Amino acid sequence: MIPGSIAANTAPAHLVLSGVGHRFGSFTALAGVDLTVRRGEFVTLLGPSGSGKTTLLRAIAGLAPPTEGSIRQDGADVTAVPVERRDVGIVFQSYALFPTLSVADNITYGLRALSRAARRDRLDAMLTLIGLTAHAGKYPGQLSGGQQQRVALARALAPGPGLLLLDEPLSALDAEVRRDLRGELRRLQRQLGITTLMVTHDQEEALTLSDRIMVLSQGKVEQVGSPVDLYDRPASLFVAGFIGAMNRLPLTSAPDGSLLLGPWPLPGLELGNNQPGQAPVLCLRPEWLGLDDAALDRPQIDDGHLCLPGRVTDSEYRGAQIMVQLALDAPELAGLSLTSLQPAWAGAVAGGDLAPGRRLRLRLPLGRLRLFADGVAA
Amino acid sequence: MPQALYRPRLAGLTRATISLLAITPSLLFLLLALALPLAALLSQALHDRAGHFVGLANLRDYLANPSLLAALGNSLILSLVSAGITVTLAFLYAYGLTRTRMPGRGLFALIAQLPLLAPSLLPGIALIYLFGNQGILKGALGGHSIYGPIGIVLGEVFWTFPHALLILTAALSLADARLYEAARALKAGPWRRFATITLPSVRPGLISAFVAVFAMVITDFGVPKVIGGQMPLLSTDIYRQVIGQQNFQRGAVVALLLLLPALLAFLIDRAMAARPGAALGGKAVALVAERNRAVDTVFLIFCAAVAGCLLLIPVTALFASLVRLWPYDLTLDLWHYQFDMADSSGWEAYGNSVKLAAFTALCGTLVIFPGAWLVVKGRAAAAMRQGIHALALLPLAVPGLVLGLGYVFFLADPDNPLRMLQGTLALLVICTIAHYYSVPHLSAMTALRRLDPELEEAGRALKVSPAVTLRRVTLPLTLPVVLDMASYLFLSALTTVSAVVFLYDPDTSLAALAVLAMDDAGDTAPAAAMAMLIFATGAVARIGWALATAGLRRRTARWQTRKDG
Repeated sequence: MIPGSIAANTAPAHLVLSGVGHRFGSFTALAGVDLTVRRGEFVTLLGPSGSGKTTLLRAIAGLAPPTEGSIRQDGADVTAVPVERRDVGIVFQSYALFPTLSVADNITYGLRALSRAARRDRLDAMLTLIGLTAHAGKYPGQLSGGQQQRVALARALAPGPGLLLLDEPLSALDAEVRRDLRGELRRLQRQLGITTLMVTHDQEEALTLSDRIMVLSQGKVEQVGSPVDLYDRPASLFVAGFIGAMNRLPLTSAPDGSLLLGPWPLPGLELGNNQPGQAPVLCLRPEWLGLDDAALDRPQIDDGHLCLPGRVTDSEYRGAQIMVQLALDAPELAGLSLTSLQPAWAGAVAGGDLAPGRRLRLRLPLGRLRLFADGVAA
Repeated sequence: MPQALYRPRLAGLTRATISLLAITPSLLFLLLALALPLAALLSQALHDRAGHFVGLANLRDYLANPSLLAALGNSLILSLVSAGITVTLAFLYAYGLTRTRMPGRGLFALIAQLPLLAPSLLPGIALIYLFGNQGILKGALGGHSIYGPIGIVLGEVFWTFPHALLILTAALSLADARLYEAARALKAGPWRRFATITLPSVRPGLISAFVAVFAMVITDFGVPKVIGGQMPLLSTDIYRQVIGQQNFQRGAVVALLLLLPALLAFLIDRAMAARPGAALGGKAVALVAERNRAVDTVFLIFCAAVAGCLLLIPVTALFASLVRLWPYDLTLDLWHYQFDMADSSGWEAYGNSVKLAAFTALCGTLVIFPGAWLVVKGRAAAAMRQGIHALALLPLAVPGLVLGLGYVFFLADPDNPLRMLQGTLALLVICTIAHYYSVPHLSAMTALRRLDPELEEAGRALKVSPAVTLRRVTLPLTLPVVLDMASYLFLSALTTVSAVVFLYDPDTSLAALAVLAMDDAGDTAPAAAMAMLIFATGAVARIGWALATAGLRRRTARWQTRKDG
């Protein structure tokens, strides 16, 4: 079963992982990964370092076969097939270009089976594709980081692989070059329609490039879904915190199933099957946390919003937006800080300034609130 | 914040003074112990016996003599052949050590170090016992004599093997696993990966090893002296001209000729090093050799064969030193270790050698490390630092015989106040440090260059004198290298023959020179015994040094234990 929206892509499955896992001795680097990637799809493996994403990519590449599970590519079981007999192109982290070979020789390295003329044509096509025709005779050491990255991409694409694997392809570049290349990578991938799997720890890269994202943490899959799924409907507290900014309100649950925020009962919210020790947490993105001037002394539901009394502790002007830090009006919740992101063009909240200490009503839209228990969506 | 913390400690003044104070001894040493003796040698070659300036007449005389010219040709050919064989064997051996998973790699690496413990006379003596007129394996040569080119090449290959191996192991162990993975992903087979990745990455190492071995062989005279027979060579020719015929001017001319190929080799090596190579990026992933039964077996057989040959030489010499009278009386005892029978100063020479080695290690490290530190980290007196570096590399190209002869001429000048050093152990120490200056200098520089320059800048920003940063940060970080420098100097001094052969006095003879003298006098077994004594001393010193400094190394290496990440 594939979670998330794949309605746009009904192409046949190109890569199917079932129960893929990898153990190094007693250490489990990866466990129970299931994933189906459709032809032409761009899927990203996202996670912090040590999450097992590189281990998974190396298993898919055939560089380090998994110790558990199976990998099928184009219908054939390739689990134990080494990389030299796989239909994959790989772009390595910081490229691994052959330093003693020219750009042209690097790109044609994998084209030994072709005739001289065919190799020449392919090289020209690749150089045009990456816009480096003028640099064919240079050595990798004479190129900028962004140019090296393009050569690495061209080298991986030249033999025409069915599956492109990208290992942190942009991490070694400056922020500006990275943004440019990100767009170019997406354009190329769409143009060639090549199935692509990318590993990254950069959530922005993952959100902007991918059709779907698989979030990994400590060797386990946290969630698979489209960028919108992951951002709006995170399946776990980990995903909620890892992608974008998130306000977290730790709650306590009463024996009758109702929920308390500090001293306040929260109307309109409850856990399905209430058990002690579930550590419920209420989450909301800062951009959804609204503010107004209405007076309030305890939580209430108003017009589809959970409203809480609070006050400003700090504010930061950011050009397009204003970031407001808030505290809740209850001594028991003194340690809790919330963030609201307000569009600056709307004028400061209800006309007044945002001086520390100003009392405000916090409006949390019920439809945007995410409730987690034991770290997973409740 | 207490104000005292912000007091700049003798800033400005200290830095310049420290630089000058430290730079002067190093520069002075290199000038006096290296540059001036070489200048004296050059000048001698341009004068006749009576001291009149004759220009290139001495050289013309020499070149007009066809038998002497033959020595030049012989030296070149034998050096090329020896270098070719050594580098080929050492490359395969190093490949086995670094790129395969064959068993016993640690042991093989250790065995390959054995030749370092012996003076170059030892392989000559052992080869005579193996293949000489009464040799055990005489038949294996198929009627050819071991005395001559065959013996010289075999002996030189043994003696230079660890040096080539060191360079090639270093070159082969730097490998980026991602390049090999990228090649596999592009369907390149093992031979293509070897040709396009391995070979280009070790090419500088191969050239470097070839040049180093070539220079060692062409300037060595230990092996040809013992086993060269009647074959004329440049190195033995100098010895014969100076010691045998007391013809110093001709000796100087031959020394200059010997300087040329070594200098040429040195320049080639420098030019190759300056070329932009396949430097490893910061993101390189270390290559871990994969298990491959067939490859591992082939290399195991090869390395075992080479290691067996390397072991055969000292084992033979040991046996030769213990047998009463080969091949007639095979009683094993320590008879030949009673050196008083053969050479009255045997044990005294041994004592001198140990003293020389200890002083060379201590003083050499104290002179060389500060020099290297100033070249890398110093900021004042740029010209002086350049001077130190240029002079420090010079010994690489200067054969020991040439340097020794330079000392003879330098001290022969009656106006030289350093004349009083003639024949003293101090002179031998100075000469030996100068002779072996380059390698420790280069390794200290490499270690210092690897340190982030921001460390020094952080120290300066914190208003701490550079001497404090040196003591508290730089020295602990480079301590393993400093300890290795001392060890290298000790072993080199223990086994050296070439530079000191012209400089010793009856009171300051050395163990390796006693080997030479005894072998010359036909006392081959005592010569073998003395060579084995040097060998054993080197081994004990090496192991003892490793054990004695293990605690120190561990303590200063504590920072390297990483938080697991």
